[in-house]
Amino acid sequence: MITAGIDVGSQSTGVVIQKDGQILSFALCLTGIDPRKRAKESLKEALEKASLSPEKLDCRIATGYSRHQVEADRTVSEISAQAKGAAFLFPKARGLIDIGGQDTKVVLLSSGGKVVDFLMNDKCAAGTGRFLELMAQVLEISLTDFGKLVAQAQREVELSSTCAVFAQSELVGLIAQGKKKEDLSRAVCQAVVDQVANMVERIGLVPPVVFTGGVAKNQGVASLLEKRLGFSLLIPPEPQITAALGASLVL
Amino acid sequence: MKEKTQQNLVKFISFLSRRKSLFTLLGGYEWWLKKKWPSPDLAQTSYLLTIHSIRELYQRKKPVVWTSLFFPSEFIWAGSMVPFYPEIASGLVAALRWSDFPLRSSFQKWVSADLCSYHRLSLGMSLLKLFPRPDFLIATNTICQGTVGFFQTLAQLWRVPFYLIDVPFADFSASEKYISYQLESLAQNLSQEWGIRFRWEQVFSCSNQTRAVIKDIENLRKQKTIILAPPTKNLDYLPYYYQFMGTRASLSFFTQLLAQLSLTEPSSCHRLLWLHLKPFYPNPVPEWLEKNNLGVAFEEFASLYPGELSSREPFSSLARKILYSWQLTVGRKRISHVLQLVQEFEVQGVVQFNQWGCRQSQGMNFPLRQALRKQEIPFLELDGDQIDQNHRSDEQWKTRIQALAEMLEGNR
Repeated sequence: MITAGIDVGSQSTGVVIQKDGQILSFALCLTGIDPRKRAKESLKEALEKASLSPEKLDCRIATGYSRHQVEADRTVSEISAQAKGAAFLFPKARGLIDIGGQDTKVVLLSSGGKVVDFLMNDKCAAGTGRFLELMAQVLEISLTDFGKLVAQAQREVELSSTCAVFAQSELVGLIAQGKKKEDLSRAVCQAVVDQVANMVERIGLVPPVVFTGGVAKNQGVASLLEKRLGFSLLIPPEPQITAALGASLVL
Repeated sequence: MKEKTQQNLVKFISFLSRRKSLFTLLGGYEWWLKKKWPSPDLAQTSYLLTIHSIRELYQRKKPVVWTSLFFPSEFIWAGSMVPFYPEIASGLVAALRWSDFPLRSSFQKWVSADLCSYHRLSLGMSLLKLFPRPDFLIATNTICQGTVGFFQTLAQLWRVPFYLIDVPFADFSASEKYISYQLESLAQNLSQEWGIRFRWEQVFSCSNQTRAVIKDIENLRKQKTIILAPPTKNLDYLPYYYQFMGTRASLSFFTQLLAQLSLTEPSSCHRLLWLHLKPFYPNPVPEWLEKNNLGVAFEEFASLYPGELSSREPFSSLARKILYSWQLTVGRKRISHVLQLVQEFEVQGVVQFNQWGCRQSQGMNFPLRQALRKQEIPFLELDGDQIDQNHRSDEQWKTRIQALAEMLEGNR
């Protein structure tokens, strides 16, 4: 059976094509303001990579924030899709942390990879990819710079607020005090880590834990999160397609 | 321009609401409605009662008593007074999509936006003089810790007396006596100051009959295939559980509801227990629950005081009813109560709507979650505000509800 999982998130859209548990291809792009169009384009790209025509697909399953806008045979929530994808890649996983563009999910998994419990951040941007994006703008760096800068940080700087708006102005104040970009980058990542770690501790995750979402590519956040939690995290080679992969496997 | 029009409209309504004689006209409308609907259905019954209540509250032929949710309305009806529950009325204002203006009004008068929106809206409606003027206020300090401050502020705003019934936090054997004594003193005080005479027999009898009908409804709802639709609808009926208990209106409403429920088509949806209240402004949560094959088997706030009221010992039986409200608030009691409901109503999941700023409900989420997890019952929290739409989060609710349904489907 050939299925397509289409994850239309707030920030990025991912598509995975799989056949009987084997990933044939995937595509990833920014969602932008036309999620329906981007989902179509991504699906087309993934099908081309797999040398398949759309008719060969037995089922399309959509997930992510705009899942209801996409042409699909059924939908599945991001929670279940992420859990399914994480358990497929790491069958022994007992937990999942997903930090996406707009929300953060922490999922407790059973031994069979089923969702036992989950937590999501509330609707504010604290502890999400959007928070990092806004801070990167203030620091005039790109998101990929965080890892390198965090590794070079020397002095402890603390952001007292995790609110994206307050943190932005706090960051501006710290820049005015002459704080170094490296130290500020670490402070930004630490703010996200503290927020997420609280959720992890709240729900009681124990390793092995999978880390997914766009923020999992941020080496700065990943290393600080591992340090704070006290265990290593399992990061898939492409952490932004786990939900699409999971969606493709739900049948 | 829109703002100005709205302000003028509010001033006009406020002016009208103080013209007692105007509400006499509603009597004719009520009479016409009763002729038009000789056998009203549930929605028509509710509408009729709303019109009747508006007439009674604004005409002010009898003392109007503002009170808190867990003060028994039977006490007020027995004294031929008219109860007004600002927290319930706030839900109605939100349902009418009119909460923004009073919320803004309270904010402009330095009421923090972090306070409970039920209280903020009531204060706004009081500042605008749109809620019916009270003669005095009676409240208990259960179940919400903010109630006392809220009623103290109301007393200052309206310049009316406030009587507080203090309910002990601990479950002492003397608690019932302590509350009973306060109720008796209050009744004496009201008799002396206001010339109020209490006639318990009829009101208590009506309340007990209503309780028996509600019990039958509960027993029906315990059947696995019976679900009251649409989901969370029963929370719209809370005035009948609280404000109108002890009146024929409540009795006839629940009698109709029982008849309607008996004819319900069998349902195979997942059964949920609903904790705390729900957003009262128009919102898609019920629709999403239905779409995801989820039904509400029972609501925590529909929990019924199990005893009967006795006119031979009116104050003691009312005291016992007040004490029962601790089931919804004191940690251990609430958790054991929730677990009992889970078992009795054979629910597969529990949903709590976390009201912004509400300590009563959220304060015990962790131990509650732990207790439910032990029984392998998923616990879903929906964060938001039941009155103030500024704190709504539709997409988050949608995802969480779907995820809960998928968890339950996986467990089937």
